[in-house]
Amino acid sequence: MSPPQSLGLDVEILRRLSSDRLVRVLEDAPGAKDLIIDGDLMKMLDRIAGATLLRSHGVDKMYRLERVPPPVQSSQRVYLVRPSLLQLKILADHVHSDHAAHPDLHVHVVVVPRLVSWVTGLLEEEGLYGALTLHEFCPDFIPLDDDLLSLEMTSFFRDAFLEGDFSGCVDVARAINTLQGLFGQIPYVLAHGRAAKAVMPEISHLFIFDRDADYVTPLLTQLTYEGALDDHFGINAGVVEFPGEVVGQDAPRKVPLNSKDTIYDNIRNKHFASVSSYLITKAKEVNAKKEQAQNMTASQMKDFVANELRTLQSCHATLALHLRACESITKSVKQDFETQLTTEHGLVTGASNAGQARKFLKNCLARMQPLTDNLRLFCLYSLTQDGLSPKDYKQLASQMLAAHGHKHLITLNNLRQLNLLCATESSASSTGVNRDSSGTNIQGRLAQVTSLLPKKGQGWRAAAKRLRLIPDPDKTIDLHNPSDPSYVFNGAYTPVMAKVVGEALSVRGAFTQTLLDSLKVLPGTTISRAAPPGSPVGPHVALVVMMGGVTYTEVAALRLLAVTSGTRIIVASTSTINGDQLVSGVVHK
Amino acid sequence: MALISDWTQLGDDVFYRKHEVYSMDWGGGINLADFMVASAPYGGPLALTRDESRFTKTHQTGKPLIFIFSSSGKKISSFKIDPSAVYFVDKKWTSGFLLTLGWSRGEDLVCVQEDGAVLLYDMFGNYQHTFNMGQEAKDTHIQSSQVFTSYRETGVAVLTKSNRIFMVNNIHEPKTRKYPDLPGGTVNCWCVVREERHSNVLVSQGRDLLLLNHIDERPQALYPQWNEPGGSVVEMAVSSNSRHIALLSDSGKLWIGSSDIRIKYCEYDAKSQVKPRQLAWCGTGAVVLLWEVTLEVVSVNGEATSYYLDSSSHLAQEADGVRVVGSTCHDLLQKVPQVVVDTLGIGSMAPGALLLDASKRFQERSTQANDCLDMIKDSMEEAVNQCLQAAQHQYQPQAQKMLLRAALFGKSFIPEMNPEPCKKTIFTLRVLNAVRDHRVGLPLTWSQMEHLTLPVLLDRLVHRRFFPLALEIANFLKIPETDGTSRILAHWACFKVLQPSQKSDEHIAKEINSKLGYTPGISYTDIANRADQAGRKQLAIKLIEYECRAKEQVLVLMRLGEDQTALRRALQSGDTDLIYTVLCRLRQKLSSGDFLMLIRNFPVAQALHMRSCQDLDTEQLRDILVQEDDFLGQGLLRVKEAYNSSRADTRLAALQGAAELFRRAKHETHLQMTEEQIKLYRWQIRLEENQQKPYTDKSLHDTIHHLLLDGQIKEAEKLRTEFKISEKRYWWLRVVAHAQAGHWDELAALAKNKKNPIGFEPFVEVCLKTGNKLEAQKYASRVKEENKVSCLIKCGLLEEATKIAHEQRSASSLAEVLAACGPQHQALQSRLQQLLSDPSLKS
Repeated sequence: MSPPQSLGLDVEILRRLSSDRLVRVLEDAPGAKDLIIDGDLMKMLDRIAGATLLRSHGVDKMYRLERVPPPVQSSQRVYLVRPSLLQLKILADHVHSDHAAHPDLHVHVVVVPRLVSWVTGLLEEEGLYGALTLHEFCPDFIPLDDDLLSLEMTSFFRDAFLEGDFSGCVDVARAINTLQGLFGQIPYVLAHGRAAKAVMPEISHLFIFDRDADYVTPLLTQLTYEGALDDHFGINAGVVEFPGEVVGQDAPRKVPLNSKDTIYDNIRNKHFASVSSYLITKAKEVNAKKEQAQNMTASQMKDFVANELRTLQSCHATLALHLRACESITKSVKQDFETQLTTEHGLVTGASNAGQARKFLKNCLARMQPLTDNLRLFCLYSLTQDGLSPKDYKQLASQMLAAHGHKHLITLNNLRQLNLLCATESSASSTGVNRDSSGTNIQGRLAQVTSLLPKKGQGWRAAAKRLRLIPDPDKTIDLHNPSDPSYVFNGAYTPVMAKVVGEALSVRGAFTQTLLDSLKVLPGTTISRAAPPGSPVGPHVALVVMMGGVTYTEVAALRLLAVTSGTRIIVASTSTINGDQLVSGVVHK
Repeated sequence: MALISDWTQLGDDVFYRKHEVYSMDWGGGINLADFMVASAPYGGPLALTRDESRFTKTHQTGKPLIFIFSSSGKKISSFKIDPSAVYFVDKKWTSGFLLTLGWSRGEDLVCVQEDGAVLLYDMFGNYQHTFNMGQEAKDTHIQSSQVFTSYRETGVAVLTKSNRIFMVNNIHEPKTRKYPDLPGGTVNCWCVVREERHSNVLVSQGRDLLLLNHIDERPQALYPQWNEPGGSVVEMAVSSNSRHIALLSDSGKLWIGSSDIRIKYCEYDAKSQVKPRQLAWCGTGAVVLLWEVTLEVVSVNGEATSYYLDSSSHLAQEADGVRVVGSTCHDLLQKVPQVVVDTLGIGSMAPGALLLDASKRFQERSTQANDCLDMIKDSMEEAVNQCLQAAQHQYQPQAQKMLLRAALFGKSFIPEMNPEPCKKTIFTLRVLNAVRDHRVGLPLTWSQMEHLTLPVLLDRLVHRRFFPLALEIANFLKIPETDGTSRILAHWACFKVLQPSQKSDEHIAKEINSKLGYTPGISYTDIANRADQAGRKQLAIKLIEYECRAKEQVLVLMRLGEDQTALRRALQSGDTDLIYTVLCRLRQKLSSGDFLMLIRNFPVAQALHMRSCQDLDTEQLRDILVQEDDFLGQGLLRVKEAYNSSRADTRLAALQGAAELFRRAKHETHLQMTEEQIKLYRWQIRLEENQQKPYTDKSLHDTIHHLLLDGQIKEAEKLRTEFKISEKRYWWLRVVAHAQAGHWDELAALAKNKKNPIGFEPFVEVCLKTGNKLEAQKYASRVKEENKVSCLIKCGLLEEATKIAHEQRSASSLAEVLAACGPQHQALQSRLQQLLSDPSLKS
């Protein structure tokens, strides 16, 4: 399946924009220099500018920002950092220690994405204000693929949704603005959520969602091939690092994953179950072609070696790689992978009773499964039950702490604040001054800031029903040749994004009132804007922005939607995310 | 002809004309002889103050009263030099005898005092700034001083009573330079001669003429070629372009030559032993001597003429002429430009003159027009240009009209001619006529206007507060908004906020906004700042509301002390950085309590503040939580702190504190969990003491797990009872630990226990996980019936699996076994296929 890519719109231009901007910043420090990079920015920098580009603009050596400063070799040093307290303190220590030995060293500090005032303040306090030159570098959306853009702001979810710091919105808004500047004003806009509201541009539709509109998707185990790769090996900025056993070498290797690799492009969105059979068929085809070569005449052979052999060999290598990856995933999936899936899907569809899920969760806790796995299941359990009874919550929470340590009391509290966990403290327990009745306490107020709590009686289940997220269980879903986005979860659940975008795109023109009404069941408010009727609408290209991270599963679902609706869909997000990242972002370290 | 009636011939084809530009609005009551007068070039304002040197000094501590008039004699302001303004120069108002008045390029009045203080005022008498000419000048006092035009700026030079010269080249960056010392003796006169970027001083002392510059250590003596040497120079004047100089000797000889004294143009005998009242250049072609009642004009080729004056006057030197300000009228004396002579001169046969003639004849409907046209048909373009240029140099609208009409008449014969010069002339003349109006009083000539440029003219109008006129001109000439309208409006607004008014601040702010709107280039920040400087804080607050750049707005509000409003605006802007800036400032300004109470009203700000506290300042965070009576939050904070410390007693204390807080928060779940943790922690400490192994950072499960790994089953058992771990969980823990440690005997022993609550699947699983298939096989047959086949497969016991599957008569199980078969299981595979073909199987 291939979405309609032909519709204009070269997103690669975004990468060039960012790289030009980076070059400008580098040229502000003309001549040779060493580059010291915040670990958090490494991956992003890789995507924006290659080593050759950096070298051609005077970058001599590159180091990761660590506690011990690298040796001074150039007369200039450029630091590329996020505005984080820890990194800046390290930087300040570097400058202090280098300054003694190399008073001539010129230090440039590039803050990504914005030079905020407290950074200046901090450097001033450190007595470094005059000693360094400050710059800012604001990257645009980085195209991870033709239809996937990311700002690589991994901490956005925690900052905005847990701590109420929506600074990142400015950068998303700026990035969307750049898109509008490049491709024209976007006539149809639908934004839903608190962060989405804050960023309010040959793109016809713009959808903006907050991550909290759909927590269920990231919590569920990903079943598409790309999703599975992300869950197992972790995909960072579109690059996966396969361990040695997968690449067939001793050392791990980084492999970029995008549509340029045709084999990968064909399997990335497939249901995991159908990937290996596809790969085997492909491998057989390749082998057959090679065998044909056995019976070739000399001239045919010459031709074959000159043209096809190379592609065949690289095909072969890729196929082998992905087969090994599949194998590695199958081997490492939990022994009771089936039970896990049944439980998850049972919880979502409401098919199996909650008791079984609870039992399974307790088992997992007793077996000391990894913390993030347990938390994911716990959250999913709570969400799908529209909150837990106090007794349930208490029991599970205390076993959670017994398994993973008491300090995760904070983690649990964070999760509750995000509404990922919810305990409906019964009114009978008159002892409980709980969060619901104490709108005045800090948490309640913070909740006001971070997200509008869904109204009572409008829990997840009601929302799922209203938005028809759970497909009819009687309808069979063909996992191998899917036609419905819910295939990503074996037909148990449709990601909210895919559902809403699908509904909106099925009608030409403005969004229907029914659709807008149905969004009321999600936390936050809706903003919609439509071009006046009759104004020209360009080609069908939709931009879907997710504030707080998008999962590869959602990307896959939207890619299917792109094919079925004949629209080009570009997904943009603050970063890509999976369930483990979502949860571990909230875990108290 | 009326047009040339005021011309006076001075040499071949050289004419001078003197015509009245204004009759003075100040009436005839002013005798200029009693005043010290300073006039600014480019038709600038006049400053007058009573010339104390002409009266008996009474040594009164009177402050000099200064009047400022426009060129047309309209009073702009009068003021006394305010002692409080010079406070910074001198702690008290000392003698402060005013020596010299002068005008800067920006039309600020420069007042030089005897004690070396230089004060600047704008033409409305508003004090601008002050500097002084150095300690030496202050100590020795100044005998005379000059305000001159230096390279692109205005400078001040002084001669102290100790015969030393000090100079400041730019009054806006006062750096005093000392010039070489003069020999003793009285200085007759001196002047500043500008040379490119630096300024030299020419001094006449005794019979010597000395040139001083700031590089050489000694003065350099100059020797102008006099016809009769031996006189001393008593008066000198430099032309506006600094190229020419006129020297007057004590015997009344006037030497005119180049400013470096090397070239002599002519020498003229003024036949007077008395010094003239003033000596000045008229443009670059003639020198003017002002006597009591006559004005003598001497051209550079030695020809002279005189005019009679009806009152004592003052000369204002311009680049292209000289203005003569008298008690009742204000005249302009200038050389008649050559093009005007060509066009209007009697008997001139220049194309312009013929075109003018043709135009006149044409209007008279005379056929002679044709004859004239015939004569110039080959040089029509030149004729048109001459008429245009002649019009440019006419002061009277009538004459301008006549010449323009002739130009347009001529132009109609050459349709391809570029219309721009015509257009420009007409438009500019309109502007010139408008500013020459006596209500405005800017008697600019065309060439002055060219030199001054239009933007500067607009600035000058704005400076004089002729806002409507400036606006009209900007609109008339279609000047881009940012340079024209919006700039003028912004100045107007700044002026407006300074004016005392009966109207409420709100009203004024509204009025300003209604005029200005959101024109590009207008900064409400600047206007508000101006209002604030004028001490009108409330007006500034009202004005800043109109600022659309949030950042500027917030910063100004903070400066004005409107912290709450600043915070509210910052929050509205959604710019986190801005919010932090405001919070930071508020924290410095307010007491901690007040600060917390304030941000309480702004949840977003509070959230941001708490976030920043989490990283930097937990005590502050606690204060907030205490203020809010948020026991739960405090408790959680305590828990965090507990794990930041590795000291056992600190951690225990923190946890106990947390428990207490949870109790107060009535949060039972947290309370109970924390209490259990305390219990566990104590237990762990004891374990550590007994076993010298780290336990304290482990969870309950981990603790038991490690005890089991070490074979401490009894200890583990104790923990289990103490913490009421269910059988099931405990069994799981044991199974996992035993397998991991390779305690297969223990595992087997456990398996023998009849009360197995978890079945044997976990046994198989853990064994397989450690890779021990053999151990796993032991338990595979004991699992539940429905899981048996898959367990057996996992253990690699395919034969048994087949057997069981066959017994179960389950097709799916058989298929499962088949799928697990590898190439080495050929026989089994065929058997399975055979079994699968049995139709009686359960699907």
